[in-house]
Amino acid sequence: MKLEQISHFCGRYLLVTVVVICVLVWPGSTSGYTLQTTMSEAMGGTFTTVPGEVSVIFLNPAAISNIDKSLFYLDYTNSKIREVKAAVAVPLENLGVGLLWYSRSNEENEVVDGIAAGLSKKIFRGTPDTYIEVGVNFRIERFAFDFYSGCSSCGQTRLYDSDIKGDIGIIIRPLPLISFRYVAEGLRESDKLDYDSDILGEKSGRFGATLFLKENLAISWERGYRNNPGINHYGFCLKTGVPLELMAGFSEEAISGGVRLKWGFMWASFAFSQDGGGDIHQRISFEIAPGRFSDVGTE
Amino acid sequence: MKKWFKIIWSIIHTYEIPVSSVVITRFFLILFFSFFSARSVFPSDSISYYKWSAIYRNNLELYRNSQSFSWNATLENSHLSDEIVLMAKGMNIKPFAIFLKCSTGRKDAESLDYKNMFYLKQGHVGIDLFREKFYLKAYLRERIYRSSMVLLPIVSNDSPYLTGNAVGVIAGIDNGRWVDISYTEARISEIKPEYYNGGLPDFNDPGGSFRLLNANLKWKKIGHFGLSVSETQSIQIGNGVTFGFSSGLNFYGIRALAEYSEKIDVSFLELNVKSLNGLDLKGFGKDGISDIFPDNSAFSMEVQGVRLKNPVLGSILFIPGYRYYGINYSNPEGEIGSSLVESYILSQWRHPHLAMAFKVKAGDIYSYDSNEGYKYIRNTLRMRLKTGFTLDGGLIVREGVRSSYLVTMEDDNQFSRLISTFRVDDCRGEEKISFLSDGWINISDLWMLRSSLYLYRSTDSRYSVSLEYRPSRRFLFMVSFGSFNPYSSAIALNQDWEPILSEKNRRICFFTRIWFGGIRD
Repeated sequence: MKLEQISHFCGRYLLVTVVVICVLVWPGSTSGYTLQTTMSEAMGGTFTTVPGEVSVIFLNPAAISNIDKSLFYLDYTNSKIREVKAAVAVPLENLGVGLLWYSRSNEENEVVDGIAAGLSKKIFRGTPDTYIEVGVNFRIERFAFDFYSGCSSCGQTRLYDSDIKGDIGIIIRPLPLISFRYVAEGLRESDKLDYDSDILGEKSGRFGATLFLKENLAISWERGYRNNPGINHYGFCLKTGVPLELMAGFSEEAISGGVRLKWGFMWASFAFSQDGGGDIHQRISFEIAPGRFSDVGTE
Repeated sequence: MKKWFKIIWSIIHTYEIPVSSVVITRFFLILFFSFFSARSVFPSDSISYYKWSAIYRNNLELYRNSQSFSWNATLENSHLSDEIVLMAKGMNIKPFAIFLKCSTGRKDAESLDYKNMFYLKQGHVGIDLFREKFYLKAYLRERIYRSSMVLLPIVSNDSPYLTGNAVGVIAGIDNGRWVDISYTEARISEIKPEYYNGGLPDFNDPGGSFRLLNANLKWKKIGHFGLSVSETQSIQIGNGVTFGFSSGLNFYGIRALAEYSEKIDVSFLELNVKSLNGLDLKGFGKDGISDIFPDNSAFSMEVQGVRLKNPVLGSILFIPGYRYYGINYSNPEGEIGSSLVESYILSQWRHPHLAMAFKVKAGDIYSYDSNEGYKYIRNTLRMRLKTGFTLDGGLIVREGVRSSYLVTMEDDNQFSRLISTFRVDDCRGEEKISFLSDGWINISDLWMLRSSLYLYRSTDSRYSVSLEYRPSRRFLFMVSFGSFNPYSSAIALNQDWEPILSEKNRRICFFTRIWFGGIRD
């Protein structure tokens, strides 16, 4: 089967699958670890999809097909929860394929490792900068923790448990001015990994919109249903007159901000956000694309 | 004078009869336009005329009460205030000057005097004689600039006596060459709202009074010598007389300034020659130059204009200075309060070709209040690029605490402007982050979006977002929401030793303004 046929097949069934699942899981309503990237953290947690943004493939698999050059992404934070993420994404015809890896740990020595494969397709192209994209991620996640049996002579035992999860997402950009998106994370309900830990992600739903103004500003809003009655996130990203982007946002009256330096084939980002109790999360990331992808018309 | 004032006041006071705001508004609108139809009094070939303006302002604030969204405003927490402002100004009526600003409408419901009324909000009447060499002006609630002393201002331009609910008189002689003498007298009603007496000042119950006499002798190429005497009578800050002496010397483009001030906590009538302490030259050398100054005095000096120039490297400007504020010297009218002694040098380097400036201020400061002294260096590097992007980097190194550093990035173009400032401070051994993002964008020719996001020392956040609709310069509609009002809150991240946290005020605000006429508010 040729690549074009695969792409056509994937596009047709992906759309049906994503729409059905979106309806079924709208909205998710559980709590758990909130996955962030540097850009999303800088923009108040909007999980936005601004032009040229690649890290969003961790948050919405539909964005994988935005890329037009192969790239590598690395993200690191060392706050109360230490997290490392890496991704490789490759464009194939109308498809986008991504391979993701992440690991996070907390002060209780609990560790979550995950590897994911994502597939995305631009199923509709209209006038320039108008399209519909759908995508899906399959994740294998492993949870490691120390278990105390209660017996003083036994000591502690390192236990492992794993599970398979999935995420789906859709991006609709009816006009160059605006785009809408929806993503459902952790679709598969399972009794596995049913632990009380602050680093385990669970089922959730998010939807939002981004407004693109004057080709240099993206204003984004997102509503996440991790906790009832849902949390609103607001943020913006401004392209300055130099290869630098300024970002800021807020959510639940907590401010965040960040910058991204676009230096040739490598982009470096820094973000910080306020946490309760006077703590500040800081996060850095790097995007390396040997053939720099275009950030015009992508989301 | 007081008698006449009481008579006039009793007439005006009759406006407190309970009539509806509509009636009052209409009445005064008619009065206003009738009055200014008086322009017909002037002959058609006269160059004198009146300018007028009418402004309608409506402000509805809904206070929110929970920690975050949703839109949880309640009617009990809503505050509506609106007003019609009528302004008139005489043009080309020299030697006279007149400006009146009247207002009517519902006032803030928080006030005890919630009612509809018409009052004189602001104004001045003045006369300039002898080609403006002699002037006399009576003002009401206007910002007046009276600071003849530069380093030790007897009264600051933001003093309530010159900006707030005050009424005053200014008279002076300035021949433009060698003499400048001025007298200012101001009274303030700090307790009652501005419209309490129908907008007229309440001389019977003043919150305080302030008098200031300035005299300056100037020699253009040589220098100047000035004398200032002010008297403050205030329940809040007490009575006191402040003397100020200023002198300046110019030579070869270099200017040396020295100012001395002494505060005596008595009224002017109780003052005598012995009240002035003066300098204690015998104390010189004990513990530095500050020993010669009495505790109730302040001294400051600066040398300006020392400059090194090089066609390749650019120019470097040096400003050395010294200031001493005695432990018993307090001049809140001039916003000089803290007791300290400081010697510093400010240097500024500008590159001849690059749009770049580097500023360093180094000093040694000792505070009598906290009984601690430290050395410090504050430097900023400012680079402006042709693309409209400006980068500021700053470092504040202070002895005894960790350094504070800040970065400001400003992007400015015809569509938008954004200033992001990131600052890190040492706070009891911990590094705390402050962040301010403030900017606007023209969404279209009619709509403008503004936002201000502020993070204070990693702990407190404030935000405000507003949307403005401005179809013409005469109409404005604005809706805003957030946890503070950035227009009324002072946020100083770049200059101050410490960032400032503004008061939290969760609100949704709708504001409308319609403007007619030719005077801007």
